[in-house]
Amino acid sequence: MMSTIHTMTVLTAFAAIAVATSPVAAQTALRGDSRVVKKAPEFGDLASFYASLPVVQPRALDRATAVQLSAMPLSCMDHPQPRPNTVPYLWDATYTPAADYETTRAFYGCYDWHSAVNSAWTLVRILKMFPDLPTAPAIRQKLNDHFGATNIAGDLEFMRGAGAFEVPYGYAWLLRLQYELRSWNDSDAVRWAANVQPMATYMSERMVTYLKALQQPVRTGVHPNTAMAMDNALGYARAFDPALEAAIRESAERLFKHDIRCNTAAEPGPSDFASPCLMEASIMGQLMDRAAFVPWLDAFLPQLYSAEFRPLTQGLGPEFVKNPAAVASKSHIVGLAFVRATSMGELANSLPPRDARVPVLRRLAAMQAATGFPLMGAVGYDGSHYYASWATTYLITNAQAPRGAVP
Amino acid sequence: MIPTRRRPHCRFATVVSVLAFASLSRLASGQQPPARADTTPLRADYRSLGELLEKIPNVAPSPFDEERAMWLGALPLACLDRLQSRPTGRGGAAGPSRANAPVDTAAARNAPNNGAGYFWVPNYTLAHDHDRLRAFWGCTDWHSAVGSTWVAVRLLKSFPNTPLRELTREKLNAHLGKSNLDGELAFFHATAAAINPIPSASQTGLFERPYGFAWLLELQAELRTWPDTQAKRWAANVAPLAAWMADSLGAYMSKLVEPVRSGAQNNTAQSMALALDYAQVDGDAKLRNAIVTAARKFYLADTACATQSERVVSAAGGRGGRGGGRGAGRGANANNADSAAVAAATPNDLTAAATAGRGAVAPAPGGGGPEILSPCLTEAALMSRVLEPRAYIAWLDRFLPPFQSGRFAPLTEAISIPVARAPTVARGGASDTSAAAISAAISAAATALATERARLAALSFSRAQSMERIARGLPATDPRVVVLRRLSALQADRGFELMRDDAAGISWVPAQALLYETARR
Repeated sequence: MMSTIHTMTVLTAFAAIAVATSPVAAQTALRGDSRVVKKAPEFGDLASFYASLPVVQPRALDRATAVQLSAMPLSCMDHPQPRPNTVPYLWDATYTPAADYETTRAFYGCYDWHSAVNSAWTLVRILKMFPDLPTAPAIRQKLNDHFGATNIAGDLEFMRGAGAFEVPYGYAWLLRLQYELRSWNDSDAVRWAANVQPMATYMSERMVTYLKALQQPVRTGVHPNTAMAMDNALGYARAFDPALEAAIRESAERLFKHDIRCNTAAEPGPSDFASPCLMEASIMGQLMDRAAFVPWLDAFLPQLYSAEFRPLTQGLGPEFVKNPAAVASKSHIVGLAFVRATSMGELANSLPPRDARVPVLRRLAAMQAATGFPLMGAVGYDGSHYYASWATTYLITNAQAPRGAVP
Repeated sequence: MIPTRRRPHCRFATVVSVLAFASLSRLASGQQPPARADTTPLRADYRSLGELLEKIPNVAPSPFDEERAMWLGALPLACLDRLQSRPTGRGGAAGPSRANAPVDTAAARNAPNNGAGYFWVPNYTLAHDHDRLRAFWGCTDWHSAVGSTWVAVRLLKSFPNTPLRELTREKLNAHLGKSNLDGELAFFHATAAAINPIPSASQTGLFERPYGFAWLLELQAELRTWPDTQAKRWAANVAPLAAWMADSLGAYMSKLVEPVRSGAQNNTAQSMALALDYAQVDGDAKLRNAIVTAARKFYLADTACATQSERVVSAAGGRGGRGGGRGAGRGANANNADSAAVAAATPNDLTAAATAGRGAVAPAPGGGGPEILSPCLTEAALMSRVLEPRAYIAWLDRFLPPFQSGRFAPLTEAISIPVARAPTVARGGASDTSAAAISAAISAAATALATERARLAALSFSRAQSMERIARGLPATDPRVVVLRRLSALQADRGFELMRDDAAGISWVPAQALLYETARR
């Protein structure tokens, strides 16, 4: 909510790491709604900007990290979503859990539907990479409980009647989950994938309709962001669903191709957990030919060393979290670190390996992620119900081979 | 109760028509170049304001007389006691089951749903003693109930001898009693205490803030300035709630990071304007200060508002007005006949688009609801009450495009009247041609058309109201004043035409009409 956002706090709070090591970071201040850059060092080129950045080693997705990241979704998958707490005006409501929810619902934990889906995705992704993790048996049990045939069928029945609920964000995450399940050579996963497929088919069709009807992209940095939905759905679309892939391509071209000069100076918006500019650049990098993408990106994104881009080079850190009034932004701001880091990593993967921006983007990504990891427990359940998904997403993006690289 | 008098349709052959625009999409927002697709040329610029004035149909504004007042005053009486409907989230004690499995139709897919009943299944009962402990429980929703109450008050105040006077007083007494308003305040205290600090898909802010709060303050401003024995009692009953809402709204405006610039009811400037009336009447300097400060912060630097994107596209399949395609709206447009093709290749500059705030945020489809006001005119009307006259003229010169320019053309045309479309029977499913299905489809199409007419009526009134307010902010000698007055008469005339014969908008359109009549004075 706008009213809970403390913009001053957002923009003046930086990651301890950046403040400690970079003179660049602490100089931007926000006055009202206009960004005023005060005494920020100016850089004439990428090299001097890169030289000014602190050396931060990117974190690897090792076994210890995997256990940590799996523990978070394990702890929330069965934590029922909160009872609605609005005070009814005219129609009093009493609430009871849906009948037999344990057998007729799949994603009833982790605060909300999409977070339950991306938590399941996190468990799947980690188990796939580390099948002999100490938490592996618990993960399998949890997935078995939630991916049962009746669970998914009941859930799909509900979603069919639920209108625009979770379109597009939750739908896109479900497709990302199904991509992992179907591309996993594991006997449990084959069964789970078969159960989830009707829901994936349904949601893919809905996404096609949604994207085709969209006349303007949603450019906010929160759930409805169009580029983010495309990004989450793209893997499934490419692997299994040509109609969806075509819809994503066509819509991205129609909605994004002519965009220039993205307004990075205005980021982050209130409550953002993603960078709209980086998200759009990231999806276009995955969709366009490299030869076409580089000039598009040149026109779209300000120079990484420019004052306009400066807000995206800075992490938002613990100072922010000390403000007890800003719970809403608090939870999203840590997510923002991981989502920005993911987009930057994706962008680096899409550029030619020798492009001078690649090492800069990777460093900036590492800086963002390094502000996020220490804060994963800082805001309690408000954050722990979804941080692991985006942290995992960052780590696997970061470990990915650049596009076209020779293995 | 609705007067059935029909004026002949005294439309000129040059009636402005948006016929050709009706099937086209709106332009992209802000100063950014037009959308990639679905673009059509704007009409060419006229040479001068004089030329525009010649092209605007000269519609004489109808007098706001007792008959019109009765029309507007009768409608709220018809809705104030109609219970707001039970929430639509699926539920009931048993929850969705195989027996009543949801039907996956296009309509069901488009229905709003916040996921109610996914895990927590609600069972609804009418609030205890709602008619004693709530004040605004009729007229579709809370802010419409407040707005309708304001209509009743305002008309009784202006026409104290109206034949509707006893009936109106009876309703106001029943809704504005002390226990009703005390119950309201208790409800809002509880709502504020229970609000979830985490923004989520299902909960986005305090119930009815800012729009409903602003309406309540408008109602209280009206009551406070009415030297009437009963009104004094009603005002005393409303005062604690109004004071609480003024505080809350002031805090909201002070903390707001960016305004909502949509054409829907969540538009920030609209709520600011309503609340300013109360701040003045009540002498609430704190609220006035919060609004003026926020308005200056948000709007002072704005330039070149995108009036060209305010073309109206009728969702119910509008096929244009009755005047044909000739006239002002379709003037010499040969110059830019092929601009759509040009636009398709025009870069979409997101930084420039955002100079007037965070304009890169495109209005999301359905975000905040359907369009019922002009964002540009509403902002311009508000600023006439925020800035000193000279500063206002300078600001307005930067903010609104010249009225004779093609960019302003959408606001110089009356909104076209949507016409019925052949109902689509059994679309997207098995071809159910049973009599019941056909009948249901026809009924749904009629409802959609009536709803659309009501929306367009309200949009017309809102435009007219803003134009009147802008005109009042200009010196009488400013050549734009006569143009604005002529345009506002044109818009309002269309509004009354659209409003006639329909009951779809009775809970909220009369209030929009009356805001126009009030601004006109």
